[in-house]
Formats: sequence, structure tokens, C-alpha cells
Amino acid sequence: MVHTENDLKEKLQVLLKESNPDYRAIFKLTRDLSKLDKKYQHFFVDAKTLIHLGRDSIKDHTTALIELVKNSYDADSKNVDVDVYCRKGGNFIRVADNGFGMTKDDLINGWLHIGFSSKRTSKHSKTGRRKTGEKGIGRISADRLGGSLELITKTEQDTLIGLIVNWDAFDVEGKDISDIDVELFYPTSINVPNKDGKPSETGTEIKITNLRQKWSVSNIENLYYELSALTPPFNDVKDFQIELRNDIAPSFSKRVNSEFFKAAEIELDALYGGKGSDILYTIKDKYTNKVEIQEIKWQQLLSKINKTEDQEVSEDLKCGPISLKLLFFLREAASVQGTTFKLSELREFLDNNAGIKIYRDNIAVKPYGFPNSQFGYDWLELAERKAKDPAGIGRGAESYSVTPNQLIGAIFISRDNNIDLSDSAAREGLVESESFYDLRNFVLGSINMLETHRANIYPLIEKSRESKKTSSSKEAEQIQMQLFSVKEDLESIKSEIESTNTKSTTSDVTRPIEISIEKVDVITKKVDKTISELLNWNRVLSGLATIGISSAVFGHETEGSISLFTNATDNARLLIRSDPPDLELAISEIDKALKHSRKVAAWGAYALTRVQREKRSKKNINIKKTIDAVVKELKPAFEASSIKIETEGEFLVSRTYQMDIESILINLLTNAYTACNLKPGVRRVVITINREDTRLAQGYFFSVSDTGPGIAKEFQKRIFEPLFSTKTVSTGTSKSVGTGLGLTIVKSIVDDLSGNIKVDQDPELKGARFKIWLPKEK
Amino acid sequence: MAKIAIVDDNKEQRETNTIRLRLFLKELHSEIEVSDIFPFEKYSDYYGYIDSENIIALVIDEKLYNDSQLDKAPVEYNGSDLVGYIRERYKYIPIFTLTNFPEDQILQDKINEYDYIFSKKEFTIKQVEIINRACQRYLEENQKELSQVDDLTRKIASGKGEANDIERLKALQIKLSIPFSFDLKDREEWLIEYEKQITALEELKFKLEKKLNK
Repeated sequence: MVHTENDLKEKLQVLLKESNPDYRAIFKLTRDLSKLDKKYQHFFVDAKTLIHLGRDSIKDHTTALIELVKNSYDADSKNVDVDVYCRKGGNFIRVADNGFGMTKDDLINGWLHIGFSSKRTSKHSKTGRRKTGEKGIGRISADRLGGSLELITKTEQDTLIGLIVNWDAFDVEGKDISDIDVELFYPTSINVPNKDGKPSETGTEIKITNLRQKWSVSNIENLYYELSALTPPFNDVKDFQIELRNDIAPSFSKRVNSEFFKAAEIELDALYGGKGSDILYTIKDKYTNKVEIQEIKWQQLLSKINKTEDQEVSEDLKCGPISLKLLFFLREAASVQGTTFKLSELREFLDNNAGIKIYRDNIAVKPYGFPNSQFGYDWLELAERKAKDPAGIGRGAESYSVTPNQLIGAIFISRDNNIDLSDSAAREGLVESESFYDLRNFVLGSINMLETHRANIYPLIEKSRESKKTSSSKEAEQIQMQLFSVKEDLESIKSEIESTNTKSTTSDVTRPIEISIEKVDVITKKVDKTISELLNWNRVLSGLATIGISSAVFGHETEGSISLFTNATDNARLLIRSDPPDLELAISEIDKALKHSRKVAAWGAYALTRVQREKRSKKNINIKKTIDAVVKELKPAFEASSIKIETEGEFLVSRTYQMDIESILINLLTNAYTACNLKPGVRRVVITINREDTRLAQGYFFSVSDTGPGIAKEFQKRIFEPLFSTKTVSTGTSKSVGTGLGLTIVKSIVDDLSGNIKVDQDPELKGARFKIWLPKEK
Repeated sequence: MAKIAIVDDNKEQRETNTIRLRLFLKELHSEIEVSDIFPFEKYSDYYGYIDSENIIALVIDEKLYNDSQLDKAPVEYNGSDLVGYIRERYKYIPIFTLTNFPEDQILQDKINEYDYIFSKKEFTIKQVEIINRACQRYLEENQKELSQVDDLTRKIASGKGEANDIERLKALQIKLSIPFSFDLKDREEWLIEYEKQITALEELKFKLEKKLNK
């Protein structure tokens, strides 16, 4: 129906005069009126555009939910609840935070203003957080999650207010975006997380219903890891905590803890008790897996950072007791190897968390370590120090220094114990007193300790970079993961098409995708089968090679038994026939023959049992029992060479391949046997088995030590190379008799099992000690 | 009585091979006896053993360094190391190896040092015939000269030797390939020099006492 200008004006006047005007009708009338303007006109936006904009700007539903949590982070909330329920009758997603909330004005002129983002005008939140999104369209991506959105929010000044968005109403042809109503409502309560143990006065609660798709276990897992990038890596810190709850993957229904500390190259803890000059350091790194504990005097620490030259140094630190935690990260692909997250996620985590912050009673003290403050972020002037001497680590400990964006640190103080570290009256921060300078120097000295440690382990870092080749089983895992991801993507495309198209067109479009999903399924199964067959073959070949190597070495024992058996039997025959017959000696020879016939039979069994089929499948095995069984089989050979072989350690069970454990052990024992024979005197081989957890995983080790001559330092790097052998016939000769394959097999198996191998000198037996560490699987 | 020595670190192997050698020697009507030993810790002990036990042939195992025995720890050498040392003094004494690995390269490299390499798996009367023949030959050829060497050495060592005795001993040593452990002429010179040193020491002592008394 076409209205004349006068009609419209009249209707508008009538509406405006009403005591309770219909603003929706007024809005439409004024819009129609504005179209009659002869000089100025405007764009009109189709309602569907909103849907397209939201869907096109977001990769998937996990990212859509992360966007909502990022909004909570930017709103300076301390706690966020994230609920995802889509099984067992549940069908909603809820994100509730105790941030500063939104006023009615914020809601109407901000939240409902597409493309508007306060983050564009201010990069940092009120409390100094670096804001995480800038596009201003994160909220409309909520359409990816479900058809309806209900939002309730509360600020300190304003009353509770809510709005309801029915995204499906926008998904119609020919309507203007302003034709679709977004309903406001005024609730009486809001359910947001407590703040500092008390009910929060402010916050925002978003509930999404009519979910678009089912969430899988891997979706929840991804969500958990992506959320962890937003949280600080220190358990005690209460800056930003996310509580994830869901009914899909119950093991991820928990507080989101940052797992990113696992990617730290070095972790340093410093503790000063408050009196005296002793500072206790604990330093761990991911290359040595050792915990180094050091006690350093305050004076020593100051001299490290050249602060003792022009001033007298007091005995105590004036600042009182402090504990400091420093995490050093590299922003490179190698840092995330062996972890569950991606490099991009680590970088995001570092962008959100880098800096050394001061926490008083577990609450951050601004501006230290906050990226928005010019002097606050790098309050220790680490960047300036690096700029003055940009030497890399290759130049040694003296000149190497870290950059501020490689460090995440937390200094823990309290109001009661650190009275001298008081707030500045003039501006934010602490009074720059002697106590503060002591604190600053304490942190600088600790950074220096970390730098020295890194320079010291630099050769190991280099070595680890050289040897970081992907093992065949990990490569296989990666292929499977990639195929799985292709399948997931296809399924996601399919469900998207199904939700956006009419029924008549859906099946035409989705059929080829369904066929592709089926194909990917078949290929995945085939690849899986081929890979496991190849790995099984590899396992059998390693086992067979091990039998070959060990038979060549222990073969002497078998040959000796065969000849002894033959000759003793013949002797018995001759002794019985001789005149007069010596029956006593004949019986003794028969006994000897029998004994050695059993030895030969045992060796036959040894070879046959090595590659038994059941040893090739992954299952729970008792490591100690497996090792004891192999030792029992090889004991006669060791005893024939006067080698006392013993095992010590505890029973422990791990899910692994028995054949792999046996192959590793037999190769190491073969080497130990040869090594022992190279030296006269007491000969011993000791196998030790024990639990040993690293920073990254639970695990165990078994080591094989011997009384042989040990491995010369110059060979230690080469012994794992294929065809390299130090085995000679006897002492003083240079003729190599080894195949040079044993340790290569050991290394390859250990790599496949995600373990590591170390070689050094046994402190007691003085010969070589090979230590195999393997992750303990349940 | 002349003996064949069996040197093996493995007690059971050693005993069985000793029984076997004795049985076959008896069958061959040989009067040679058999002595068996665990390898000596030091090479030098073999010379004393060969001389005192009247050893006229040795049957040595190759891998001597494996086993231990009661208070004796495993030794540091193998059979082919030992044969070279024995040959330094007893150039023509028959030495055989009895091994499980006759094709072993190390052993084959030392083949010229041995009279024969036998496999333990084929240690029959045929092999013992070879050993026995070698022993008889060695006995015939060397017994007389060895006895003369012994007599001459004793005579010269006791100071009763004459110039022609020394020359004869030298000739026998060359023939039997016995290395000269000392040169008699040098020994005399050394003694003169030694006595001179003692005189010098006495003079020094005298001077010191004189100085102290002052």
C-alpha cells in the first residue's frame, strides 16, 4: 500500500499524541517519511545480512562461544561461568560473568549497534587488560550457537535489564533489519558468579537456546584449551577464572586451568623468607628434566646485576618476604611440540599474559606488568637492557638477556607481611622506596639467574633442536588427526547447509558431502589399518634384529654348550668302553651333557618367544616382571662370563608393547655384556626400574649400568648413529665386531614411545649407564 | 714326565677336553700326560709353568677372558694374545687352539703362530693324533738342546763357566729362539760400574761425617 506524504504525517501526529505511544509504529512511519526526502536518502540493510555477517566472520561454533567469553574478559570480570548442555535433555549454552555489566544505554547504543566496538577507541580495559577483540561483531556470531539469545545485565549505577534476540526472525527474505524486533525486558534477578567470595553487584548473563548443532567431545576439548589461553598460568592468582561445565565431556567440567605453562622453556621459583640474606631458587627446564635447587646470598645476587659497586649492601631485603615465579617462553613452533595446543594459541596466551606482575594477596597491583601502561609493562626496563646489548644466547651467559615479552612472572606479596611496600598516594603503583628498589633488584637478579641457567643449558637446547625429528608413530598420529579434522569440517559444512537451506534443496547439496564423509571414513580406516600394520612390522623387524644381534653376542654360550654336550656324551661312551670302565667319570660327563642340552633348548625358546604375537599388541604390562623374565633368560650367558646381573626397583604397570620393552632391554644388555667382558675383575650389570614424572607427563625409567670401560665422551654423540659401533673383540684391540644397529633400534623405539634416552657414567659401577625414560600410560 | 697343557677358563670345557685328550692319548699308546689350568693372571707365569711342569705342547681356548674360578677373576687376554707371548720364548713348542669359532677372523690372523686350529665340535682321535705327532717331534728335536741349555746356564750362573761354554750357550739360544735375557759381558761391566758407585757413596759418607765432626 502506497501512502501519501500527508497520510504519513497525519498518522505520525496521531501516534505522537497518544499517552502511551507505539514507538515501533512511529519508527516505521518516520522511516517511510524519510524515504520521501528529495535530496538525501540512505542505505537500507536486509535483515538476512546480519545472519550472513555473523556466520561469515566466525570459523565455527567453538570460536563463536570463545568470542562471548572474550567479551566477559574485556568487561573486567574476574569469573566467568561457561555452560554447554546439549545431551541428556539439556539444550542451552550459558555464559555468565561478574564484569562491569552494561547500562541500558550501553545495550541500546553499543550492543545493538552492529560493527560498533569500544575496543577500537580503547585498546585496554578499565583494569588494564589488553582487549581481545576489535571487530564489534562477536556478539552476532552467537547466531552460530543457537536460534535464541537472552541477555541480562547489571551495572553499578543501573537496574537490571535484559533483551531477547530471535536470530531466526532475521532469516527471512525482503525484510529490513529494523523491521525485526529485539525485545527488552526487566528481570528481577541475575545469576552471575560470585566476586571475591561475595555475590556480585554487576555482571552479564547470556543464555542461548535452540542450539544449532550438537557439541562433540573434541569440540569441548578444543573449547577448554582455547579458553585456557585467556587465563593466567598461576593457580593462586584470582585475576580471571573460567568455570566450564558441560554434559558432553565430563572430564572437562572443571575450572579452566592454563596448560600453557607446560610450554615454558624454563620455570624459576625464588623464595625469600623475610630475614637474613639467603634466597632459595628452584629452576626447572624442559631439556634436562632436573630440578636445580640453589641458595644464593642477597649480596651475590646484587653483584650479578652490578648493583654493589656504589652502595653499601644491607644484610636483609627491606621489602620483606617475597616469592617469585618466572616462566620463560619462546614463541616458536618447537615450544608447542609435545603439548596439545597450537603455536597460534601459545602466542595468544603470551600476548594476554606476558609481563611480570606484582600480586598483593593474590590481586594484581597496577601498573606492574600491565601492557597499557607506558612504564608499567616493562617496569624492569628489560627491553632497554636488551636494546643496549642485543647479544643472542650463543654468546654465552655474560651478555645474553631475555626480552620482556618472553617472560610471564608473578611476584607474591601481602599487605600484612610487606608493610613497606605501600601504595603511592600520588598515582597508581607502589611508593618507590628502598623496599621497592630491593624488590626490583630481587626480580632483576632472579631474571639474571634464569638467563645464566638458559645459557648453561644452551648446548642441550641446540642438541634437542637437532634431534627433533618426528617419530613414525607420531607422524601416523598426525595423519589420522588431519583426516579426522577433514571429516569434522565436512560434517560442520553439512549441518550448516541443513540449517540454512530449505528442505527441497538440502538433499541435493548435502548428498555429495555425505559421500565425501563416507569416503573420508573409509580412507581413515584404511590408513589406520595400513599404519598399524606397518608399525607392527617395524616392531617385529626390530625384535628380529634384536634376536640377531643378541645371538651373535651370546652365541658363544650356545656354541660352547653344543660342543660340550657332544664331547661329554662321547667321553661317557669312551669311559664306559674303556678297560676297566670308569663309570663314575662317565656319569659325571653324562650329567654335564644333560645340563648343556637344557641350556641349548632354553636358547631356542629365547629366540622363539621374542616375537610372539601377543607381545606386539599394546596392553597393560608389568614392567618389572617383563624385565625380570628377560634377565632370567639371559642370566646363564652372563654367569658364563662371570657377570653378576641383578635388577632392583618397584613393580609398575604401564600400557605399552611388551616386545618394545624387551627389544630395548636386550639391546642394552647385549652392550653391557660385551662391555663387562672388556675388563677383568668384578663384573656386574645392574638394572634399575623406578617411577619418574617429568613436568609434562607421568612416567618411569629403567637403566642398565655395567662395570665395563664406559663410553668415551667423543663417542657419546655418535653411538645412536646407524652402523656406528664401539664393540671390539677384547681390550686393546680396535677391530669392531658390533653391527652398529642395537642402539639405533633402541633410540627408534624410545622415540616412537615418546620417551628419551640418556647415557652417562654409573657413579658406582663406573661403566656406562643407559637410562630409558618412558611415559606411563594407563 | 712330559705334559700337554690345556688352558681354558671354562671349568667344564677344560675337564671334558682333558678327559678326552687323555683317553685318546691312551688309545694311541702315548705316555704324554695332560695338565689343565685356568689361565694365569700374568703372562709371565706361563714361562715358569712350562718349565716346571715340563710342558711340551699347549692346547689353548681362544676366549679366555669370560669365566672366573673361585678366587680367580676373569683374565684380560684371549688365546691369540697369549700365543704371541709364549712364542717369544718357546719358538717351536707346539701350540694348538681349541675353539668353538675356528673361523674367527682374529684367530685366522694369528694362524702362523699356531700349529693347528681345532674346532671343539670336532675334537676326536684324529686331532689328538696330530697333537701327539707334534709332541713327539718336538721332544726329539729339542729335548737334548734344552737340557744342554739348562746345564750351561747353571754352570755360567754359578761362575764356573768358561769362554767356550758362553759361546755354546749363545749358539743354542739362537737355535732355540730363546731371547737373551741378559748379556754376560754386559753383566760384568755393570757389576764393575755398580761397585764404583758403592765406593763413591762410601767416600761421600766419609766426607759428610768429617764435616759434621768439625
